[in-house]
This record gives sequence, structure tokens and C-alpha cells, in this order.
Amino acid sequence: MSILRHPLLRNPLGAAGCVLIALLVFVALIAPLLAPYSPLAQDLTQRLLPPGPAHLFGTDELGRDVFSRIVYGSRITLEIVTLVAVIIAPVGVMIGVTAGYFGGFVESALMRVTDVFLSFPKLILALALVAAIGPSLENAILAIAVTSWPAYARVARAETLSLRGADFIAAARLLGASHLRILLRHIAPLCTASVIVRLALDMAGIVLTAAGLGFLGLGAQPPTPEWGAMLAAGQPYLTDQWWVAAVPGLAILLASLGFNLIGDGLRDTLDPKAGAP
Amino acid sequence: MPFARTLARNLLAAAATILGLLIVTFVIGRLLPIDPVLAAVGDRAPADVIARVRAEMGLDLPVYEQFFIYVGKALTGNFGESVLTARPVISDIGRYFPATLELATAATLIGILLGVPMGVASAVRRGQWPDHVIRVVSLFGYSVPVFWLGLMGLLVFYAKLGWVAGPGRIDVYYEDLVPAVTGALAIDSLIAGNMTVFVNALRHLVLPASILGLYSLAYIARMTRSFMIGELSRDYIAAARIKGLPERRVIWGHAFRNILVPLVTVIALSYGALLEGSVLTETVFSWPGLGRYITNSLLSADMNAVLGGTIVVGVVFVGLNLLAEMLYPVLDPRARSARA
Repeated sequence: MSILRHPLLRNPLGAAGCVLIALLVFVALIAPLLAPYSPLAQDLTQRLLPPGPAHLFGTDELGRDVFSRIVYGSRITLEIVTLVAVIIAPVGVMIGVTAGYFGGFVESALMRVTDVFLSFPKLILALALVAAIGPSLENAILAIAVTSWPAYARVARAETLSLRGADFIAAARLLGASHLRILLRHIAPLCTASVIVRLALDMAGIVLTAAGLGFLGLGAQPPTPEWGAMLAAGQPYLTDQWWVAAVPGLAILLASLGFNLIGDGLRDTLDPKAGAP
Repeated sequence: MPFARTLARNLLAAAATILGLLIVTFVIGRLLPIDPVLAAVGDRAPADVIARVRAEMGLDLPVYEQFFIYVGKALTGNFGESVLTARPVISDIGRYFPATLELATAATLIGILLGVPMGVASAVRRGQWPDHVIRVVSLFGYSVPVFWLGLMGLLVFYAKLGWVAGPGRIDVYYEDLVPAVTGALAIDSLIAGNMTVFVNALRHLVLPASILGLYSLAYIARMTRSFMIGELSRDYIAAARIKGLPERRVIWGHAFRNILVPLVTVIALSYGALLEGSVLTETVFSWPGLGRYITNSLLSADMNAVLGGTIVVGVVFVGLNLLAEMLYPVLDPRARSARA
């Protein structure tokens, strides 16, 4: 009950974002029930058919049903987003918390590295990294993670600086808690809120970068129904069979729009004064 | 001398970033599963040839020595030869970079010319329909995959309507007609006074620049809006209004003038983001710029070219960030003394 009254859901744009992402998760969960065909089944007699009753979004150059591939592709998008988040948030938080807590040389060294990574052109670095370790879905996830953790270190450090001198931390020290225990049990959990907001804001960028890597052939490899790779495969048929490229792009747009709306909505609710544009 | 100190600190930070960039690209170069020696001599070469080539390539030295040599070469612009074009990477970059600059500059201009008025309108009419429309436009600009929008743009405006020219920078029969001065074809053709080439170049430029510019439009509009909202709530604005100044002068003459400094910073940052964003746009539009050079090299595992391109884009990116930092005290006298 009370979750429906959450401020994020009262904000119309935030609510729209939640609906889009809920839809994405739902489609991914029930993909086998939803997809009328196998996402990989080829039928060369049925290639490049326009959208119609038999094939909602038409068929691609190998006669695969575009709708079924889009449905299964939602699983890959969610997998990428989740794995990247699971890697970058803890890594970033640990680095930021350590820097903020210990201060001094540890802080300067860690934050220097963070700043260096923060001022890299992210996409290009991810491209170069994937090119070196070989194109695959896992490597694309790794490359995105390597280039996007610094923001979390920044956020966590800022939070830690405001907590470092707090009485409860001093109390924990007096009780004989180790530094590690204080970091993990007392400080890191308090960074969760700001890290989640940051993640919500970053998700759309992660979706777009992953799709971009897929589009360039550096992400998931065929025949995986990854949206960016599907779009690239449809490129040669753009003029006459536009749906092969258009539909996956629309799916990417909706996913990244959903995350952007949630991020915006969260910012609105948490900081009403800013009234995010 | 706080200004000199800020300058020194920023320069040092930029140098550290570039050193970091070199470390990362060096490591990426080492991660390659392909042995560069075997790639050069083939796997049937006798052992002594392999050893000799290894020594020639400096690969028998300790890693840190290899790194110093690498840094020395990179700082003098020696990124090795491209396997694909058989030319030094740096001269390839020199050929392709102007096209990227032309595209990113045109896109930034579109972003400024549309984004700034949109942001101001959005702040002035806060919560009313212009604000909502502009919010939706900027959300779209942030969310849309540029490569998809590029393809759809080509489909509609080139293939179906024929309003713009297709992929590439200029039609084949106009190539090399005007002498290169700035490297930007639209400007070079104007300098040469060749209107036919100018119109053709512009027809090629307008679609990719608009699509790339959408991102910077979204970013600039959003930032302008939030700077303006902050400024319009200040006391001196109320004072100006009470004094009876026309609203137009309050907005443009007072509030807007005061957000110019942070706005310039935002524009410099968005320009850097566009250089990077051009990778995907250039691929879609077959635009012969640095982005397409990097992606083409990627697909043929031409690592010298990839890493050379990465370093150049990275250095320009860091340079723009530095510029954005430095413009603050130059444009805003208050920032000179505030930071001591």
C-alpha cells in the first residue's frame, strides 16, 4: 500500500519511468511466455517480412521474428545493467569510504586515481579496452565497469567526510571496533542512499554505452539478440526494411528513457528546490 | 598570487591525468592476446629471427623501461605505424581530426544557439508549458541512442525526402576541389569562394551535426535553466524589477550576464563529450573523422591506431576540461580571489 504513495510515484515523470522499467523487468521475466517464436530460429523463406499479424515487428535478414528477439533482448539489457551496477557500486564505495575515512596520504592517492579515471573519455576507453581483450558481452560489461566506478568513489568519499567526525563513529572506536568494521558496518551502509540515486542517474548511460558497444560489434556477439547488435545488423536494409533497425533502437530508447525518468524523479523528490529540468 | 597557484595546480592535475591515460593505454596494449613479434614475422620464423625482432621492438627490456620508452614516444607524437593504412598513426590522425572538429564544432553551435534560449525560456516560464516541452526535449536528447537517431534521420531526410545529402563529408566529384586551410570543408570552400562545394558540404554536415548537437542541446538547455533559476531568485533581480526595468532587460541584461561564466564551462565540457560522442555518429554517417578511424581500426585489431587515437582524444578532452577550469578565474574576477 504505502509504496504506491512513495513520492517518486507521485511525480508524474518518475512514475512513468517506474512503469517503463517495471515493464522491462516484467517482459524479461516472462520472455518465454511472451515470445511467439524462438529468438534464434531462422527461416530463410520468411526473411525481411514487414510487420503484420504473424510477426508483430516483422522478421530480420535471417527470417527471425524481431518481436521475439526484442523480448529476449530485454534480458540481456537487464543483465548488463545489473552486473555493471553490482561491480561499480561496491568497488567505488570501498575506494571512496577508505579515502574519506583515513584521509591524508591514502586519501590523496586514491582520489588522484579516481580523478584521473573520471576525466577520461569513457566510451573511447571502453572501446580500446574491449578491442584489446576481445569483443564479448562479459568484456563489454567489464569495460563499462572499469570506466564508470569513479563517480561512486566521489559520492562515498563526500558522505564519509561528513560522517568521519560523528559521535557514533567515535563511540564505535572507543568500543574497540576495528577500522574495517567501522568502514563496512557503520559508514558504508550510510552511503547507500546517495549511491542508489547516483546509480539511477547512471543507468541510462550504461544502457546507451552497452548498446553502442553492441552496435560497433564489440558487445554481445551474434546470434545473441542484443538490441545494439540487432540494430547494426538491420543497417544494410534500412531503406526498404526499416523495421529491422528501427525497432531495436526504439527498445533502447524506451529503456534508457525509463531510467532517466526515474533518476530525474528521484532528484526531484530528494531535492525539491532544484526542480530538475 | 592565487591565480598562478590555481594555474599550476590545474596544470599538474592535467599532467597527472595524461600520465594516467598513458599508463592505461600502455596496459591495454599489453593485454593484447596477439604477440606483436609473431604478428610481424609469422609463426614459422626461426627462433633467432624472433629474438632479434623482439629486441628491435624493445620487448626484451624490463616492463618499466618499456613504459618509459612508450611515454617518450607518445609525448613526441610517435604512436607507431597503422597496420591498416601503413602510414604513421600521427599523420593519419592529422588527416582525420579536422573532420571530427568540424562536426563537433557545428554540433556545439547548434547546441548553443538552441539550447541557451531554450534554457532561459524554461527558467523564466518555470512550470508552464515551455518548461515542460523543453524538459521532454532534453530528456529525449539524453535518452536516445545517437546511432539509431542517425539511421532514422538518414532514412527520413535523405532516403525518403531527399532534403539532405547522404553519408560522407562531401560528394565524390567535389573531393579535393578546394585547398585545405582550416580543414573544415564548409569554411575552406567559403575561403576559396566556391559556393557549389560549400552548399554540398553543408548538405552533408547538417544532419550529423544536428543529431550530435541534440545531446549538447539537452545538456546546455538543462544547465542554463538551472543557472537561470538560481540567478533569478537573487535579491538584485528583485531590486531591478522594483526599479521598473523592463523584464527583457532584467533577464538578458542582468540575470543572463551573470550566468555566462558557468555557462562557458558547461559548453567547454559538452564540446569534449561531443568529441567522444562523434565515434558513433561518424560510424553511422561514414564521416571520415577520428571516431570512424578508431572504430575501423578496432575492427581490424590495429592497436597502434586505436591507442594513438585514444590518447589524442583523451588529451584534447583533458585540455578542454583544463580550459573550462581556467576560464573561471579569467572570466569571473570573484573567482580569482576566492580561491587562495
